[in-house]
Order: sequence, then structure tokens, then C-alpha cells
Amino acid sequence: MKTTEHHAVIIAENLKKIYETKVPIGLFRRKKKRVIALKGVSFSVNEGEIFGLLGPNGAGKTTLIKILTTLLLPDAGRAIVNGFDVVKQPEEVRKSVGVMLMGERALYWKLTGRENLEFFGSLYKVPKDILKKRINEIVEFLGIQEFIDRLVETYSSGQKVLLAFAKALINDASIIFLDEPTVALDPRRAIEVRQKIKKLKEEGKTIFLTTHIMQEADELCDRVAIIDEGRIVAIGTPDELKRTIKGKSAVEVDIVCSNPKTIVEKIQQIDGVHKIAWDVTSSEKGEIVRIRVICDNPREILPPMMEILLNNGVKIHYIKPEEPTLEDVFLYYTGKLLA
Amino acid sequence: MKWNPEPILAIFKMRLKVYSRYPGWIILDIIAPIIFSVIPFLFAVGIAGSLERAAEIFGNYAGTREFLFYIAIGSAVWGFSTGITWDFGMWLYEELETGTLEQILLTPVKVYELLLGAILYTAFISTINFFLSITIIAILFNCLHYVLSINFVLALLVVVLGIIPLMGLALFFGALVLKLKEPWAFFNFLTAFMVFICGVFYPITILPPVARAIAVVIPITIAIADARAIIFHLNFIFNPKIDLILLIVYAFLWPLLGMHMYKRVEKELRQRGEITVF
Repeated sequence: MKTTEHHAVIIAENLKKIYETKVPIGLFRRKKKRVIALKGVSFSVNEGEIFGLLGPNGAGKTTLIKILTTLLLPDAGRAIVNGFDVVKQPEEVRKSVGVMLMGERALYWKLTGRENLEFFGSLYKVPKDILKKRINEIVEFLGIQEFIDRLVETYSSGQKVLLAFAKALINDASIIFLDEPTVALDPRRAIEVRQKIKKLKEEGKTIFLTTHIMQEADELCDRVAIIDEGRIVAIGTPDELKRTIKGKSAVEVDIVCSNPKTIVEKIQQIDGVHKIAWDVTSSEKGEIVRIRVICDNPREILPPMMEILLNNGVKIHYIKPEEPTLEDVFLYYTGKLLA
Repeated sequence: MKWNPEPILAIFKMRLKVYSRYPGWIILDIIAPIIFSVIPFLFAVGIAGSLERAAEIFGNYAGTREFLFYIAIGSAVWGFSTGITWDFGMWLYEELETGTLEQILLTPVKVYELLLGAILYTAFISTINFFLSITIIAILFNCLHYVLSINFVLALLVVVLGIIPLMGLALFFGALVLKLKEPWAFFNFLTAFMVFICGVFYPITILPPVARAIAVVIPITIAIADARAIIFHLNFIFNPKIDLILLIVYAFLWPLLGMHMYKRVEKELRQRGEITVF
């Protein structure tokens, strides 16, 4: 019988991180504050897979990616990247990974895109002739010929993101860390970038990806880890994760109201409601509240829910029972909406 | 394994390209030496009444009447040396503020490559400024014979030897900047302090003993005093042999101290998650 062996190229074992910050409490006085960012995170990423890390702001995603790329030292635990210990062999780790961190300030604005790639390629000691050829290949691969020879200061936000993506490929590393790679991209470019990420996987690269776009994680990732308050609360393939809430349903409610907190608290009391989360977006019509509910049976909770909404004078845009998505898995494990 | 200087050259080229895209900086760097060269002249005439009188007073305590060229040598060596000392720290902070330091630290570049790349750029710009200001003064005040003498070349060798310990000081300052995140406060304080203590405008013999003892720990003091001693046939700090030994000792001591300090601070900041905080 043929067996598939999975070779882990990223291993995190019981990683812990606590930040000590100083909060100003006057002109010269400061108070120490401890923030626990990681509370013992363990997981592994197999060679050639796209691994997605999902989590809300402050969940520990950035801390984790910074530890794995050697920018930050863990307080406890161990992390191995491509066979190298991130604490004991940081230089070897840096040589074997390509990194795209969030933020458009990661580039030299007074240089052209090509000059930026040449500079970072030289820091990786890529031989000149290979570097020139590789830059041309990357430019063609990402379709950025149109602006690569312009100064970065003239780029749009999306173009800067694409150049940062190109920079992550410059050392032809076998492991690539991408922090929110499609943020600031228009929908067409975002689709293109997702296709490129799939192409990189086909070439045998391992991709470690953070995103807050559930559809992106669902479409791209072989496996997904959900991180919340410094802990991995769920891990598996998108289908496996969806199966963990099999037998449960989701109901999405879109309303206009002034007291969403009270309404959410009342809906939460209904029998059969497992988790509920909400967010508010502003539009021309006022503040629109989106409520997402995980429940056993929508038929059972819809009548009392309608009653609560109508009794509170809420304007209802829609109420829609749905099949659970990855977003519902996230809600089920964290009690929060991701985006 | 074969040594590859590519990261050092890449940093040098990158900085030079960024510099070339700010024409104002280039113009300022050409004009500034001209302005600074004329200041001592006006100062001397303003205080002593005439150049002749100023030369006489200066000769009484400095041992040479060529005070304009004496100050020009001090200023030029000081400008060159402080450029090398401060620039690495200031550059690191600039990279920190713009967000590119994080990207550099994600690559396998070594500390000494960062330092040499940054200093190569500074040395290039500072050397142009050095020769520009010295040449202007030499032409304006009839001192060209000093520049064309073999002693001037020997004085330059002393200055070049002083670069090695200065690189250690640069690492030390860079570490302080990364740790305390206040480069301008340091820069302003230390610039004023070093102008006072290193004998830029006067011989350090006029300083109190404690200040003199501190002054000789700083390699810039020795570079300035010895360059003048060679050109004007004046006294060395101690004597040529001891001064040379001191410079050689500092060439080992300061880089070791700077490297130790930098690595310690970098580890501490990576631990605290503050390597990219400014």
C-alpha cells in the first residue's frame, strides 16, 4: 500500500510570549503592564502545503509570525523552521524563508520597484546574474511590468502590496510567510494573487498565510489554524473544521437598530442558540448591524428571534438561514466574527 | 567559504541612490563646507581686530600661527570622524521609522555587513566634504603648501587608522539609539560634548586634567591632535609611538565593545518585541 509521508517544515511546540509594556500615567510616570500574547501554541506545517492562520486582531497572529521569522524571541517553547531552530540558528532560518509582512512602509519609496528587489536580493547574496534573471521572472509572474521601473512613492497601495509580495520571492525560498497578502488589493488583483499563491504551491513551496478573509482561507488553505487570545482553538482542513460543527446551522440577520447589544443579549437567551456575534457597519441608511447565530435548528429559533426583533422596533433587512461556513467555525470556537 | 561583499555594496549603493534623489542634500553638502570654512576667519577678525593679531594670540598657546588651517584640520577631521560615529545609529533609526529596518533584519545580513555598508556610504560623502573644505581653506588663506606636503599624507593615514575604532563607537551609538529610541537627544548632547572635549578648535592641553583623561579615550581626539602635530610639527598627545599604540589598541577595543553592546541590545529588543518600535 502506498503511503503519503508528511514532512513537517514548520514546527511550533508550546510557544509562549508575554510582552511587558509601560503605560504612561502622567508626564513622567509609567505603569508596567503585562500582555500575554501566546499561551502555549503548538502546531506543525507540512512541506508543500498552504497553511492558514486565522484570528481576530490581537489574537497572536503577528507575534507568532514574528517568532517564526526570527524577529521576536519566544519566552518559552521551541520553533523549528526548515530544520533550523529559530532561536539557535536564526541566520539559517532567514536564509530559507521569504517573508511578506503587512504594511506598505516595508519598501524604499525613493527607489524604483526593481531597485528595491535588487537591494533585497543582494542582502540574500543572490549572485548578480541569477538575481537579474529572477527579478524578470518574478515581475512577469506577478504581472507588475507596468510599474516596476517607477519610484515606489508613485505606487498605489495595491501596487506596494504586490511589490512586497515580489520581495518575498526574491530569495527563492522554499517556505514563504505571507501576512494578509490580499489586503488593499482590488477584487481583480486579489483573485490574481490567490492564483499566484496556488501556483507557488504547485511549484512545491510551503506557504504560511495569515488572513481575515474566510473565503480566501477556504479557497487556498490545505489546513487552517484558528487562533484566539494566544491559543490555537481549532486546527484542520477547512472541511474537517466545518464537520466539527456538523448538525448545526447558521442564521444571518441584517438589521438597522440603535441598541444591538440588548438585542444580541436577548437572542442569546433563546434555547438552541450556541454562539452569537455581531458587528456594525455604517452606510448611507445608518448603522447596519450584522448578527450571526450558530444554532441547532433554525426553524426552532426563528419565531422567538422575530418576536425579539419586532418588539424592539428593529428595521429588518433580511434573515437568512445558511449552511455553516468556515466563518461559522471561527464563530463557534471564538465567539467572534472575523471580518 | 568565499567572502561575499555584496550586502555591503548593496547598502552603500542603496544609500547613495536615495541621497541622489534628494538634490537639496547634495547642494547643502557642497555649500556647507564653504560657509564653515569662512566662519573662523570672521570670528578671528571680530575678536582680535585683525588676522595678524589673531595669529599672534593663537600662536602663544597652540604653537602655530596658522590658526585658520589649524582649525580647518580640526573641523575637517572632526566632521569626518563624527560622520562615521553617528551616521550608523542615525541611519538605523531612519530605517526604523520608515519600516525598512524590519525588512533588513528579516534577511541573513550580518551586523558587520550592515555597519560596513552604512559606513562606506558615510565615508564616501565625508571624504568629499573633507577634501572640499580643506581645499577651500588652503586656497583662500594661502595654505596650499601644507596640503601638498608629505606630512599631509601621513596625517591622512592617522585619520584613516582612526576609522577602525570609530566603527566600534558607531556600533555602540547604534545600540544606544535602538535601545533608547532618542537619537536626536544623544546626537545633540554628544556632538556638543565632543566638540568641547576632543579639541576641535583648540589643543586639549587647555582642558582640565579630568577632561583630558576622558578626551584621550575617544579616538577622534588622537586623530585630530596627531594630524595637526604631523602637519604643523607640534606636540603629539603623548608621543608618536604611544599615540600609535593607543590607536591600535582602540582599533581592537572599541569594535569589540561596540559589537558586544549591539548584539546584547539586539537580543534584548528581539526578546521584548521592540526591535521595530520607535
